[in-house]
Amino acid sequence: MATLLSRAEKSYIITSLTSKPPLRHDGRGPVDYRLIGLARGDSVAPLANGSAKIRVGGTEVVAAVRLEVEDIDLELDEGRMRCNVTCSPAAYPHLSANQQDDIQKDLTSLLQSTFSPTKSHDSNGDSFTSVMSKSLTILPGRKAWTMYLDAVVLSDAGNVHDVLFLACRAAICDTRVPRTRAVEYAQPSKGSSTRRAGETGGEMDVEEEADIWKTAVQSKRAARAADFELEDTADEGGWLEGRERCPVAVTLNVLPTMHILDATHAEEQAVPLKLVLIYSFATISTQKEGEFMGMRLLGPGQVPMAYLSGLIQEGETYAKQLVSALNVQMEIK
Amino acid sequence: MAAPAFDRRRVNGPEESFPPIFIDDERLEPLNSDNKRRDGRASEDLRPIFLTTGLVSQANGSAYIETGNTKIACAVYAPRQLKNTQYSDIGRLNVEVKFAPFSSVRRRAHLRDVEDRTIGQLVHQSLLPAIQLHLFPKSSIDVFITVIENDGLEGCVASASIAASTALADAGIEMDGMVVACCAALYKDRIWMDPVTSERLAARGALLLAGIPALGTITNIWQSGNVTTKEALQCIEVCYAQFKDIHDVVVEAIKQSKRAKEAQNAA
Repeated sequence: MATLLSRAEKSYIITSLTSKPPLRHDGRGPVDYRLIGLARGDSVAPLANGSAKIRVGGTEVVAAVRLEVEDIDLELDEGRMRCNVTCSPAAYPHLSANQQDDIQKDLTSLLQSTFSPTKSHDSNGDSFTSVMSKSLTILPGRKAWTMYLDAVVLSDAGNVHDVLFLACRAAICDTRVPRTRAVEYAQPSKGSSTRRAGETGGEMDVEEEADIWKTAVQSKRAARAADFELEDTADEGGWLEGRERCPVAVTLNVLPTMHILDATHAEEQAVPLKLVLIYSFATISTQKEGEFMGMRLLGPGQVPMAYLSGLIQEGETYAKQLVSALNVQMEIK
Repeated sequence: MAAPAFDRRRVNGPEESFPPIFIDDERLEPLNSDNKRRDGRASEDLRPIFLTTGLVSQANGSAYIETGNTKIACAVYAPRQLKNTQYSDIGRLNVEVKFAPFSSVRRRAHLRDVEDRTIGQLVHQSLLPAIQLHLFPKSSIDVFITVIENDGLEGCVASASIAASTALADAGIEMDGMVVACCAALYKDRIWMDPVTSERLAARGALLLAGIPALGTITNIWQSGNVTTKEALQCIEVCYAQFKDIHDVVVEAIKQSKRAKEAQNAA
């Protein structure tokens, strides 16, 4: 699967792609995806707060979200996100350990830069990342959930960027944040301390205890909240806020006259240029245009300036279709 | 990122150190009181570029670029023989970026850190499509970039790409055309060209565009932050509009270096 192609083989693939009608060796149309297989929840990673596994053709990525409580200060008063991508050595058998490391680092930095909240005075706090990191806050300025997003590329048969983002999106959409409420320590009232010294019965003491450890019921509201506790509810917690806006990536493999989506490993080697577009959509139903969260050009080819805007606009259409298909599968409105 | 290996032979800085905060730094807002950019530029103005070749005499080609506070030196050693790797019929491009420890507000580790690789990767992508690697079988083209001072990360990548392509031309490496690069940041509804660090921090998104103006092609796009499709396309347009001017600067620097070499040969 992971063999390197000769020039003749590459030329064969490109000639058939640029012929009319375009031909792909698995019979798909130029903008067709392979079948997308999705598994999520406890069947993938039972110990994670959210997890998903996506398989597109031979490309397989597992992503899992783990939430951990972290002390934060006022400078950083929201939850954070840490991303990490690991590539299984089996995915890239033809590469040396160093080259695999480089791929891991590149994918990690792409994820991290997409998901880390933008710290700017300008953003009015309604971007996906800032909404999400706000909903990860437990006690403002004191404690927050740190979200660890770990993805493992089990095998790569082409189009690893799209599949990676699909898996991350599915894992984030699957994540449940445990419900918490703030706890406040109230000053014991004057009377209680004097009475404590007295010889009143045990029943009274219990009542006073309850008074001292009064809890503030409004979660995340209490001004002098000292700590938090997990709410005792039947469900496992709430969905992440703004999860429907989690981004997807669409990779356009660009040839001089056309582009293809979801390239296989062989096609990726033959086509010199990849344009990775990362989009987030507020809601699919409205005609509001998508938000760009990242754009990369990868590979040794060049794209004429005149084609670029067309490619980007078409990319948005593909991303929209992909998101709506995934939302149906994940039951996200 | 902390250095993974602690080098005892060096005078290592304290484990934790903080840059001093000056009173005027506290309110380092990107806009003046009269709603202009701090350095008095108009939104679509680039910082002036100073570009020269022949900085490193032992390298095959070299260049030095200065745009505002950003100062970058670049040396190219090419073509070199590729040892202990299997045969390859095209050349390999290596780009290494190193920030000087004193290049940023915070001290940089003297060993390679993660950001160096990200930036090296971006410069690599900008240059790769332009170099005619099929003319260099079994060999590698090594580009070493040292950032002496850094003001605006995107601008740093853009300047490094320009310097590297000039140094490659100085070394006589065949290319499809000169690579130039330019970046823009989005702040509210306006586009700032060539943002400095304070402007970049205030902006909600930025875009870097690299290409070959002589052929009208694009070799690298890098966008981060949240922007709409329309805004991204606008950014690409305004960056592309600056390419011709930057290209003129690069061509002038190469012409000068050629004249200097001829004068040297004549003497």
